Amino acid sequence: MLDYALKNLRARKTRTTLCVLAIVVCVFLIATVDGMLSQMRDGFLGELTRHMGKASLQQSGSSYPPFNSTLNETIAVEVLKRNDIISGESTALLYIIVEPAIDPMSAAEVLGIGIEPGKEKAYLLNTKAQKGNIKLVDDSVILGSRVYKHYKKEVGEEIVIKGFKAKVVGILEQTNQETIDKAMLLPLGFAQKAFAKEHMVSSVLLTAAYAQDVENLAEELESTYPSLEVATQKQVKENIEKIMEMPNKFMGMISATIFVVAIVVMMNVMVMAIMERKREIGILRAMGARKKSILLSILAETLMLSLAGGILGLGVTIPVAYMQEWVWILSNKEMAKVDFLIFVIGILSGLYPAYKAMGVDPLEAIRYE
Amino acid sequence: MSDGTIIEIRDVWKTYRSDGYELNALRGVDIRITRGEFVSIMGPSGCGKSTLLHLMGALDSVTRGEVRFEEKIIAEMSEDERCCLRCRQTGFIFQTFNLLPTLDALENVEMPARLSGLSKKERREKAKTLLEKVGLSERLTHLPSQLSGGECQRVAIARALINAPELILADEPTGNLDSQSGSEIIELLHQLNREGETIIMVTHNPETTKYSNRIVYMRDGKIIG
Repeated sequence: MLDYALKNLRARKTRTTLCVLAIVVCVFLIATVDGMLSQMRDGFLGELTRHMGKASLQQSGSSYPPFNSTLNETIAVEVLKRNDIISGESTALLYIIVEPAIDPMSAAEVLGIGIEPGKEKAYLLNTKAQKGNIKLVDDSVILGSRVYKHYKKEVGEEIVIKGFKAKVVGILEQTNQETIDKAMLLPLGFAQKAFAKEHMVSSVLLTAAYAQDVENLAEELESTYPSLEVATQKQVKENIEKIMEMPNKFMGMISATIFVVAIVVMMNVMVMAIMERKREIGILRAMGARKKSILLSILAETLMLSLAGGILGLGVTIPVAYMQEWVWILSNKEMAKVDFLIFVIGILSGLYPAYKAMGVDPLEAIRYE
Repeated sequence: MSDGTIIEIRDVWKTYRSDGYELNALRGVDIRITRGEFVSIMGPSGCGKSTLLHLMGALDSVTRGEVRFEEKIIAEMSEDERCCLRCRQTGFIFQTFNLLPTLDALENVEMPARLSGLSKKERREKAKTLLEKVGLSERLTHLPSQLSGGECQRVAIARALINAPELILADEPTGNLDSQSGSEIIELLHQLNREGETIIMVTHNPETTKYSNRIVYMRDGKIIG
C-alpha cells in the first residue's frame, strides 16, 4: 500500500505541501531550541571540568561567575601564601561585565577577567591560543573566540577599554564554554585601574596541591574567613544546576509545544483527508481491504509526510546553522534526536486518523452514490 | 450443497433502526443461486434489491436468518474471513463504478490483486490481460477522470474479475450509462457468464435481463416471483 499512499500524497499537492512546510518549520525550531540547550549544557560541563581540584574564595551568596563579589586584595595575598596550594596555578581574579549580555541566558557578552600575569593557565587550563600566545604583559589583553569576533581585533592591534589602551597578544581557540569564549583576559592591575576597582578582587582561585584535599582546603578557608564562602566543583555544579533550571524548563516547554503543534497540524490535515476520502476508503474496504491495510496505508502517508518535512527541515537547518555558526545543531546527537522526533511525529499524528479510517463502514461509504 | 449451490439465503430479514423507527428492508427472503447462473433481481426502488446484494457480498449483516456462501454462514465468519471473501471470492460492480480517482485504469484493476497478496509482476500481467479483454488496452494509464462512463464500468468489471472470483455481484451496472454503453456492458457480462462466471445483477431495466437465466422479482422486501 506504500505506492498507493504515495499516489495520494502526489494527488493532493496543496495539502501535502502545507503539511511538509509545517514539519519543516517545526524541525527547524526544535533543532534550534534543543541545540541551544545542548550547547549550554556542554559548555557548563566544560566549566565543571575546569573546577576539578579547585576552590574559589569569594563573597557569600555570589553569582556564577562571581561578578557581584568584592574582596580586599590583602585577603587574596594572604591566602595565596598558603603552602597546601599550587601557587603557580592559583590567582586572584577580578570579574567585570565589559559588554552586557544580549540574550537572557548569558551572564555577559564580553566578560572582563583581571588575572595575575603569568598565571593565565590557572583560569584557562588547557585552552590554547589560535593566534598569538597566552602570556599577559602590562597593558595587554587576550581575547576569547567570541570576543575576537565581537571586536574584530587581530593580534598586535590595540583595543581601548574604558579609555585605556591595551594590545591584543593572543586569541583563544573556541571551547563552547561561555566563560572562556566570551572572556577578555586582562592583567589584574590594568583591570583594577581601568574599572576603578583598585585593591579589589572578586575571588581567589586556588588549586589544591592534592586534588582530593580540595574539600579540606575549602573547610579550612571557611573557618578562617567565616564571612566568605568557598565554591568548589560541588558548589559550581549546584550553581550551574540552578542556572540551568529555568532554561531547561523554558526550552523544554517550547520544544514540547512545537512537537505537539506538529502532531496536531498533521493530525488535523489527515483527519480532514480521511473525511474527504471516506468513499475511497469504503471502496477499498468493499474490495476486501483489511482494517490493518487501511491503518498501514494512513500511517505510511503520515510517515512519508513527516519524513519529507524532516529531510527538508534538516536541509534548511544545516545551511542556516553553518551560516550562523551554530555548531551544536550539527552534532550527530542532535541529528539522531531530530530523526527520532520526525518518526514519532509521523506515527502519533497518524494514529487517530488511521483509527477513524479503520472505522469507515464500506456500505455507508459506497452509499454516497 | 453438492448440487452446485454457491450462495443460499434462508429466511433473511434486514431491519434498519433509527430514532425508535424500524424499517424492514428485507422480510423473510429465501433464494438459492447455483454456479454458472446469470440471475437478475428486479423490482421498484426501495424493494430491498441492493440490500440483498450487499448481504450476498458480505458487505452487510443480516438481522435474522442466514446467508451461506459455499456452505459457510457469513455471519459466523471473522472480520478477516469476510474481507477475504470480498477480496477473493466475490467481485462487485457498482452503478457509479467506484474507481479510485488517484489510480489509473491498470492500477485500479490491480488493487484487489494487491490486497490479496499477488506479486506485482503477476497482477500487472493479469490486469493488462483483463483490460484487453474488456477492450481497454489503449487506456491502461488513463485516470478515471479521463475515461467515459462506459470505459469506467469496463475497468470496474476488469477489477471485479482480477482475483478470479466465484461470484460477480453487479448493482445496476448500466444505471449510469447511455444505452449503447449499457448494451456493451450487458454483452460483456453475458460473455463472462458463458465462460462460466456466476453473475447476480440488480437492475431496473428489463432490457438488461435478456441474457439472464433467471429473473427474481422483489417488492416490499420480499421475493414475489
